[in-house]
Amino acid sequence: MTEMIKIENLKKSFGKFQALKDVTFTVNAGEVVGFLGPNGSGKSTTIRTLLGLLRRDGGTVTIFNQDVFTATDAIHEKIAYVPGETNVWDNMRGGDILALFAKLRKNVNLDKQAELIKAFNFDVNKKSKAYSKGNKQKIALISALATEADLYIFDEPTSGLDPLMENVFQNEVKRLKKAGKAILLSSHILSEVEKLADTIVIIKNGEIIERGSLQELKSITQSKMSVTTKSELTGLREFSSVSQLQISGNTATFLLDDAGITAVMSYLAAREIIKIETQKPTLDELFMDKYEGGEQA
Amino acid sequence: MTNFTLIFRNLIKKDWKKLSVTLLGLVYFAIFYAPMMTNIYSTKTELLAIFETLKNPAMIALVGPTEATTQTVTLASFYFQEMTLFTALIFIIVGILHVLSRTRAEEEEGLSELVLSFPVGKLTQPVAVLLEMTGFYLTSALLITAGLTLLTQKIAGFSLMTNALYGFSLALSGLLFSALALLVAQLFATASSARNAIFSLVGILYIARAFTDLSNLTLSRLNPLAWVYLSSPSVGNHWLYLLATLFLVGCLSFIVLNLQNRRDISGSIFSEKEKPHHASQFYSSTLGFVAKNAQGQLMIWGLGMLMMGATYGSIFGDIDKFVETNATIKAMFVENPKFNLAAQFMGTILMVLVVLATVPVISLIGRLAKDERLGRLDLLLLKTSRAKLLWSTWCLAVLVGIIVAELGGLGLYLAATTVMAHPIAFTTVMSATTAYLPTLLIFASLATLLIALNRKLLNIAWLYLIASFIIDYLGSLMKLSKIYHQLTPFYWVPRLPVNQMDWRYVCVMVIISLALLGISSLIYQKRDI
Repeated sequence: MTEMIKIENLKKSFGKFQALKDVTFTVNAGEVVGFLGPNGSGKSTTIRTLLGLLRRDGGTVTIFNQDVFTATDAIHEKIAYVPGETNVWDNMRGGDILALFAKLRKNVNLDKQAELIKAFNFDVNKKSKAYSKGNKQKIALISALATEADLYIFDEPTSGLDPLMENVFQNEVKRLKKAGKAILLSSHILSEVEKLADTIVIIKNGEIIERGSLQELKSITQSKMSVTTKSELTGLREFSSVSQLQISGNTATFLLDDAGITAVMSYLAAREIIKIETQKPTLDELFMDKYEGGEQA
Repeated sequence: MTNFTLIFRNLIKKDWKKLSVTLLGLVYFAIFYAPMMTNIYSTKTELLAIFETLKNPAMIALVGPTEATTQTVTLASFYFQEMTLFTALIFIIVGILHVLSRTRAEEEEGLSELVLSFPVGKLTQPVAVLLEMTGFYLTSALLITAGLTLLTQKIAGFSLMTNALYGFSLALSGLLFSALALLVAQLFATASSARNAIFSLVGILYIARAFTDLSNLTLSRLNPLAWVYLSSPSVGNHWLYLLATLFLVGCLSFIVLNLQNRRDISGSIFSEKEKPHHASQFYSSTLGFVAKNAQGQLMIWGLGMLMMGATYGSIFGDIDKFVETNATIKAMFVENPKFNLAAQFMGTILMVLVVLATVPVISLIGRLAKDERLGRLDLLLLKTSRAKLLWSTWCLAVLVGIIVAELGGLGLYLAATTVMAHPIAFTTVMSATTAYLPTLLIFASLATLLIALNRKLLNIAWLYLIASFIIDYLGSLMKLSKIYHQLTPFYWVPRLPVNQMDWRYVCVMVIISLALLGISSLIYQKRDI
């Protein structure tokens, strides 16, 4: 597979604050990579580095095998980007801004753009100071999705959009994926990432703590269990393989690391199991687990 | 610079209306008064009389020195000395505000980040803005040259060359500080901190040149702000200062472009201090919220005004000497026993200080407009009433204004005492300052009323302040009719110690401002936020 983005040991500090300690991951053609992490974990810093806006303190960062800081213009000819919060010039009309953006990127499909303007129900005739946050966001989304790029970078692209518009966005991403494009999707909406992403990268305090396909992450590591027994279950707290434990009476729900299955099962068996259910965790649970006890913003 | 043409054309498309209006305003201000001078100073004697007052150290501190002598003085040299520095300051302020709004403000809003995600070179934006400003100032220089030449065909001393030197001096000083603003925009994280930094710098350069103009003119030659009048149109005609300015613009542009290529976009060299995450009890009250905004203003302006007052105060000794040694001045005023040149000029200088003290007043009240535009008021108004917000803001702004104005007076007194043989008494200086304070209330209430009507109207308050200043400062030299003076609040201020205190004036001013504030409060509660 062709590597579109390649980040190796990326480091970046702002003054004394180490925003990125060690970031390594790749995005391949035809792949949607979900980039997850709470506020302040380094997602936007990573993306700004990718766009060539920030100098890095260490590591190599390339897009299409070219250095992002030196070959910026050449790279930008073939990528499209949507920021988390779009701000535009107050006195310009939405349509004029889209036209300007289309001229800046020569590879915009104007028919596609017209189609997207309809799909996103966007009024091109208003001055942009009259647009809501969501409507400003649509400008960046329409322009990016109408671009025939090789790589798409979305930084929390659907913030401010209603669920109908989110759905339009998701369908567009699926279309791009089918067309073999590479997509980096940073998002807070885990259900969205779960629907779209093949690979998940989780960043915490400037370090990548988890990286793999969604299936791998879910199946290999953990199961979600719900157990009812005849006697109390507080002893589960002692197991290091148990996390997100919730006990009510003789019923407990928790995540169980695969490595601890035997020990926990024999503990449960000794308390006479009445009912037991296991299922694969959702991405939400997986994500919460990674951040359990962490400094969430 | 990929896509430079597109970005530049878009910039001009957005700005041309605003910049054209500004340009015409600036050009008009720079030339309108020249043709009137022949009516005002029709005889050589009149010109010589007014020329003598311009040699007064207080005037030099305000507008710079002249190279003209009693033999060489013309209406032209008088005009240029009078107008150049203040006009240049307006040119400079306009340029700084525009450059910051097109650079750091856009970066702060994340707009630059979006634009730079396109195939747009990092240098494109600063180069486009620099080119835009170059065009703006070049046009203004040409229009001033042409306009002034047309208007002054029959006035002694004006020629195409002097007018061009005047026009280009103004334009290049504007361009120089625009380039400096471009540099400062790279260093600070927010447009407002960049603005504070560069305006402080302009303030310091202004004060420094006032000192060196009086004590050591050679040092003034090192001060870029002084170059604008040191070129001395119609007397010295030193074109070299224009070259120096151009050279400095070149150097600054070079640094700016190098820095832009290397630095973090949306980052800064001087980062904002980490703010505490939780607002203290004090800050969560209405007054506390407004007070937080006022703190910084109070610090900067308090210090600035103390320095400004001290600068003017320190020349009072020179005024004494000036009166003693200047025969013409003595002859002109000696028959008036009440006349005391130092006291007379104290009035003018206090007016300048009070105009400056009004700037933080209007700008603090202007926070209401800014917070409304950014949607920050909605949250605050859940906890407090609109009337309370309006009153608190007004009170605090006026308080800040009063403190900084008094600090200006204090600075003036402290410096004047050390240099004068017969110092003006502390109470005299302070009561003269205090007599001006009711005008602060008028400006505060006007600003409040305008915001209550519609937040976009606030600029009228700024225009009124600038107009009042120009009328009061230049009006008497221009011999404007009394009605114009009466339209400004400053006309009504009793000029202590030359005039008597007039309590009716204080009462009327206070009643007008409170009435305006009451009306504002009623309107503000009824309109949509």
